[in-house]
Amino acid sequence: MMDSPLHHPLPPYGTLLGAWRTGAAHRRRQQPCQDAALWQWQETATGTHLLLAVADGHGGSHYDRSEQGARLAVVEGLRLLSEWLQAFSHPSQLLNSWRSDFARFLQRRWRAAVLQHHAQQANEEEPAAENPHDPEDPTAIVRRYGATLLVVLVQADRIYAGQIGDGKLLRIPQGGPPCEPLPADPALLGSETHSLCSEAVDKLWQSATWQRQDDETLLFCTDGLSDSFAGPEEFYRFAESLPLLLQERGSETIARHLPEWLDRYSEEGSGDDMTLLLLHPTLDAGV
Amino acid sequence: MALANGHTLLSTELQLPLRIGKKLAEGGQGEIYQVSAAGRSYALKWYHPAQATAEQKGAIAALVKHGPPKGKAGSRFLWPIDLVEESKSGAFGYVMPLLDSSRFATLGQVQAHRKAAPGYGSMCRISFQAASSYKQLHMAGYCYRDISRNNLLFDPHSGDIVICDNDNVGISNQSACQVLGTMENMPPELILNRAVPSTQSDLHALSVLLFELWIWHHPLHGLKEYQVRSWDLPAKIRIYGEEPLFVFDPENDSNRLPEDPEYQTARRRWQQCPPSVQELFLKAFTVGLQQPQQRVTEGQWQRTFLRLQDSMLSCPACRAENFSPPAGNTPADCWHCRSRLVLPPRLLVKHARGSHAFTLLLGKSLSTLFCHPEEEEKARLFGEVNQHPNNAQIWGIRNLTEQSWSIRLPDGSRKEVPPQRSAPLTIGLELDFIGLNGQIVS
Repeated sequence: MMDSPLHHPLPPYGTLLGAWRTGAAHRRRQQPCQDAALWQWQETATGTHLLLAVADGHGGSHYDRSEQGARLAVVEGLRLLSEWLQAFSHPSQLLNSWRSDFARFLQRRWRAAVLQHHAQQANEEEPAAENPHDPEDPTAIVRRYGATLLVVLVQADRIYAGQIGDGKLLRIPQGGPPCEPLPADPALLGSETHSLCSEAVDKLWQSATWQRQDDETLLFCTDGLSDSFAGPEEFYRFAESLPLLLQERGSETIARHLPEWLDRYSEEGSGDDMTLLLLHPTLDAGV
Repeated sequence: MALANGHTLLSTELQLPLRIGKKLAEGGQGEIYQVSAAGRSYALKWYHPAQATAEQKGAIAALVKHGPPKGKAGSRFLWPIDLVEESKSGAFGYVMPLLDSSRFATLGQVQAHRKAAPGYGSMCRISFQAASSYKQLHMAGYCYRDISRNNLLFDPHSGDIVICDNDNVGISNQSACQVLGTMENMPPELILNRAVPSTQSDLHALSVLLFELWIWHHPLHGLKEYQVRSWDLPAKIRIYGEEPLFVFDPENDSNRLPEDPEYQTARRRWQQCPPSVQELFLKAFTVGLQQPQQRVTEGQWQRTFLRLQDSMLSCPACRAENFSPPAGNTPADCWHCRSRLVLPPRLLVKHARGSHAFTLLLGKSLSTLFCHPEEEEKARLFGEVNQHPNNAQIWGIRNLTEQSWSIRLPDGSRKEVPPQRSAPLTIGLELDFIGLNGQIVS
């Protein structure tokens, strides 16, 4: 898992900065942060690639291991993507597999990792009589680890994004309104979300691909942050203000302030855990 | 390079002044913009520089020149209307009809619960129209080369379809194989580089598409695919090319569906699939896998789905659409609420190719499409099941043709039924209409 706050120059793609914080409500209840984020840098014969994943454990009594579920999600998501970068060197093969097959294989890998983690924990856990969950039912076990996952691959000319659930990804062009390549599911109400522990995850996979723009900032976050705003328009306004702020104040300065920003949003907003990652196209070290 | 909102481009042949509007989508090949010209809206596909090749431009120009396949079936293709070029940069694209995305859905959107799921009647219409449109394309000498769930959109309520991404269309047996495309829809001979795209390869892809539509699963994704750890090119070639095996192959169960919750939906939907459709899937993915000439044709799909659609019935308890059980079978239960189904009377019509049955449900329109399913535009509504205006208990079939029908009642008496009048819905009644002969049976 990455350091928080994060500030890392990644030429030629710019600077990756971000933070993740335990939500105000979780701190009050002395619960851990159930978000997870991971990034890695990979060299292949076709170039240098940035791989990113952000996961959000559901929390709550039914999902008591969702912290581990989120962690396993980002690890397995990036491991699979990394393998596929080697396996599919042609863009159209990678694109096709990304769209059609990624979620199916991700779900299998994540489920296997979850069941393995569960087996390892079995001896350390409380006696079965005190455990409200059915210890034998794989579906019930997997449900305890429920999490969402957003995975992104950045290449020199193209970006691939995909997700299960309600993570947020915004493209923020220089001087233009942000757009959401993976729009929220209008059928889901309130805090409802699709999950890696849902049935038929491969059918719930949402993916997009687009040409990378040199002047575009990318924002990735969990719903704790986006839900802290009065509505999508306010969240978009916040996102739209970021490129200018990053340019004026420098990415390192902003990175240093991110934890306190997120704490304040959580305190005054959703109370949820928060993860925010920004891939800003400039490489300046800040003021 | 992205196009600026408000910028104007001139189309090559028709000289349409296209004003660029908002970007609608972006994919691997290019971007789609909404554009307008002379008060009408269109869509413009603008290729990414790497995809904007001279070969692609030539292919689009040929499609524009030829025009879409004929008839109603051909009109469902969002066919290129004209080339659009930017002389300075050499970038190009093509203009096509604008898709109504609020009305039409992809299968993926339905599966993700973002759009309504089609009922069985709509499923039959979607499947019929897909087979019909691809048949029309093949009759024009083309093959689609990339038939897949991503290119077919449908109206879940009416069952109407549109087919997009037509820039992949090429001449049958003459085009280079785009093996780097959607491999899961390609037949073994294409995967193994032993053939070029043709009508035969399209027939395989059409069967895969219909299987995904009905079963929500890929026909070759069973134990063999489930046990793959590294999903790479060799694995794909093995599953789709070297060792393809249908998950419901009755002779070989080594690729059956694994015992995993992930496969529950496919198992359940296969059980609910009508036997006549199951039979065609079995043919397509057993003998048809290795023998291209044995593949299920578009006409076979058309006739099967039309028969199913015209013989639908609704559950008396929950009104869910159900398929009529095959003749001679024991009474069936509703797939949705498990109530016992009541079979309505049927109109059995004899025609040159055999016979066709309509279930006679109130309000149902009866069409002559079954006489010539390959020419949809020739189809006419000939009747409609209605109630007597003064006695709702009496049902009839209204004559919607322009000629009188001749009917023979069960007591042997004969009568004429002029246009817009109704023949009584009586078991045993015989009907001569527009050169056809029908009988109402229980």
